[in-house]
Amino acid sequence: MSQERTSSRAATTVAVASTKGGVGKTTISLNLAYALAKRGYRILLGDLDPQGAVGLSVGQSVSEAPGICGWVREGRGPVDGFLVHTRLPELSILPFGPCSWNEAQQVDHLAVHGVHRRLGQSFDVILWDTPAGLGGFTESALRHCEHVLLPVQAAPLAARALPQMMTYLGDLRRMGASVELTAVVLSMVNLREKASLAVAQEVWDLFPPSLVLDTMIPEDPAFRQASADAVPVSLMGRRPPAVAASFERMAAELEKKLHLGLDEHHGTPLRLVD
Amino acid sequence: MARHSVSWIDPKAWREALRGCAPSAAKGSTPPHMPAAAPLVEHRTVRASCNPVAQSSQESLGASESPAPKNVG
Repeated sequence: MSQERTSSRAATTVAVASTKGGVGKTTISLNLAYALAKRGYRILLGDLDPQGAVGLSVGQSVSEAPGICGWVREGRGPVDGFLVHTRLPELSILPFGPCSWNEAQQVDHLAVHGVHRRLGQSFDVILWDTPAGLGGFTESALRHCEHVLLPVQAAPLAARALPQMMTYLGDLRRMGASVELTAVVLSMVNLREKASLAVAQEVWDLFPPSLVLDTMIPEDPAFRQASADAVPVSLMGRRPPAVAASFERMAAELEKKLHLGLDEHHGTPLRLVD
Repeated sequence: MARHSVSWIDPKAWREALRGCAPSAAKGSTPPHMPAAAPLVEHRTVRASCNPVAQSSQESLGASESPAPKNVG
């Protein structure tokens, strides 16, 4: 299991966050986590969305696992027993878990901090999927993560919600959080549609080029099928759809932005055979 | 400076917000609507009346402001 490998370096912590809902946060979190794990990084995908979107995306057994809510309920001891291990040894999931409203309120920023502290040496990246909005769960992730990946749906409403998200992140930083907007990714893009293209152009214009990923996540019916099959798009049969490659490119881009692996590999290529 | 058309974002407020949440990326970046470098080819206006090719391309774009060329001779 991936947790048996530990390193002296603490995990890089990333929140996939956006004030607007329906921009593809869970889809991006899940598929990006899978793509990074395929590149050999030990990934923990944590779900801070109380509706348990990650669990709902990958299967009933995951969605019914106790998850972070169960860990909090049972006294915040060792977390390992609450992780769901996947067919990729490098990828583990900490679902939100079924719980009452009262129990969910206990999943606070200290819980996020506790997970980072307990599992930070066992993973290279802890990636949190967050619910929409500026509420408690999103704040909990942002207060203790180093990086924010901001998906921007290529739709006018999403573009208009951007200043609120930016201001909120700035406020958190002024209050002492070290979180920083590290990358923006355009999602649900359809460049043949005028409004979608206009938003993409405005995002390219508004953000410094170093912030906007070259990879865009297109609008694609394959995502609905992947959701129906409860799998990442890369696992949709023997020939995964073209969108699977988008996440591979995205993982490669983020690898550089998050400085993953530089300590261990000193930036030199890894040999296929030792 | 005008607000962005789709997002309604005011560029001045935007720059401030960007500095607040992404200081390392905002450092050294150019503000919106400011080209990072001079264009490779400078745009030159060709007077349609002197250049029949330019005139025909304007027509194909549906431009209606240019006066119609006079038939000479």
